Amino acid sequence: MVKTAILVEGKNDKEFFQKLIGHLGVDGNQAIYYVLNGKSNFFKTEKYEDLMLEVGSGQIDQVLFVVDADDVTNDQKNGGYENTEKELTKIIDQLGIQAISSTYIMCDPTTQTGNLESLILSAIPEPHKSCIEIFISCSEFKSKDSHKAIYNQLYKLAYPDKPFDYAHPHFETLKKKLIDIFK
Amino acid sequence: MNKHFLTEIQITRFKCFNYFHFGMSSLSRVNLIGGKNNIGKTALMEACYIHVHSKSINSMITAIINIKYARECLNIVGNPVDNLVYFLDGTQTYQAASNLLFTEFIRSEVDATKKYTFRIIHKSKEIIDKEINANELSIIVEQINNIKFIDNFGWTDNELTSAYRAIQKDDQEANLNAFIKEFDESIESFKVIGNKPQCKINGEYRDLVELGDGLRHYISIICALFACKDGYLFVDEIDNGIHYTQLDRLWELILTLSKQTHCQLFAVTHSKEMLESFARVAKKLDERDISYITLVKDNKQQIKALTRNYDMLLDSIEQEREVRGW
Repeated sequence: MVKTAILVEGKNDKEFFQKLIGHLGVDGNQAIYYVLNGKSNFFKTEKYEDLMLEVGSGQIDQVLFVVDADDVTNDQKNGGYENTEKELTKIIDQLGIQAISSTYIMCDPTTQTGNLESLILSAIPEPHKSCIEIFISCSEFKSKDSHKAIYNQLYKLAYPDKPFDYAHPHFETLKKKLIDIFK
Repeated sequence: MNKHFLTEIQITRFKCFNYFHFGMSSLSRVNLIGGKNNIGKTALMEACYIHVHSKSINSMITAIINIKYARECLNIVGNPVDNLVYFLDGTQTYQAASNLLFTEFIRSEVDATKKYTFRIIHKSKEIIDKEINANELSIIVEQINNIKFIDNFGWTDNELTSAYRAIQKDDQEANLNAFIKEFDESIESFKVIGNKPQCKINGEYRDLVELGDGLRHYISIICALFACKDGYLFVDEIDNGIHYTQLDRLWELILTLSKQTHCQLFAVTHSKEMLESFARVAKKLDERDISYITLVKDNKQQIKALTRNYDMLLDSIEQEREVRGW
């Protein structure tokens, strides 16, 4: 059985992948999650000690790095799609696991910025999305982390029976990537 | 880290480790071992036991016999074997090297003459190297009292009685009784009367054999930790018979007493509850001198040891990642 390590930034990302993998009909036991607690940890080799133990002994066949694109205006080095992609390539090279690694950068596909919540919001009807964004704007919450949590909570409240619209074209790339990895 | 502790070991010949180089490193004072069935967890502990017990040729022979006897004892019930050579011959070859010493045993037969080769090289460079013809072999049992092995069948009355002497010697009877009372409050005290371990319940002493296996196992582990002062304790299936509500307390005792007695402990478990309890208690006590070792087979079907330290184990448990092999 192919075992894939899925490396994510936070618990919400893990939860999202668990649901999506379940939706795709893949055996959830094939996925081993590593929550790295933040984007910056993705670019530190010491955070991969446990993963490399498993990879080195042939226990893990594939590694999927899932990182938020964020915005280059907030972080010149690691922010934005291109910078994130470049930094991920660099760390994968440093770890020497190019042959078994793949990446997915979370963002709103139309703007190539943002995070998991941006991807989810990009898949709901425009009026609904506007309502949520207006609320965030009016609430005057400043930190990015608060935004993520609020987006997530609002989404859960608004769509309790249909957590994510996986049929939306914005999920196609990710679904295809997962199906290819787990086939 | 105590000087006598094993920190790394390579086993090149012994049971399932016979055809390749197997290494295990970053060992701590308390080492818990996991992995799938039949991967070699018990064999690994047996190899370590023989290794540290090989202070001399006699103690090496004794360890090899002890291990074989523990495995065979049920098979020879009703058909006793009084010849210790039978148990020694159960092992063909053994070779291991560690941060402490190098040990080797070979049983060979050339021109119908059986020979035993023993080689022990201590870190101090002291070398014991001897080849003995079978007809000249005289087995002298030499048990090292602070190196003990509790197998998955648990200890006999004799083994427990022997370890209990360490409790008496250290005046620890009251502490042992308190620990036992925590396990089962109906037990007023524990004693060895004659050669029989007994528990006092409702004012009357009852043989330990009449009580549960979990209690025997629990008492054995505590006594062994005192008996193995400055030594080593190996426990197979450590959670055998222990109720889940007692697991945290058992680990508290193990982590505390092993530190107090400078005893290095190796234990095997399949139980997720036991593993989670190990991590939880280590965190509670901030006891970082622990390792969790998973035995796995790599793509070439060779056995590998994955050693997780305190931080790696706690992170894996908190993130609910399976670490017992798959």
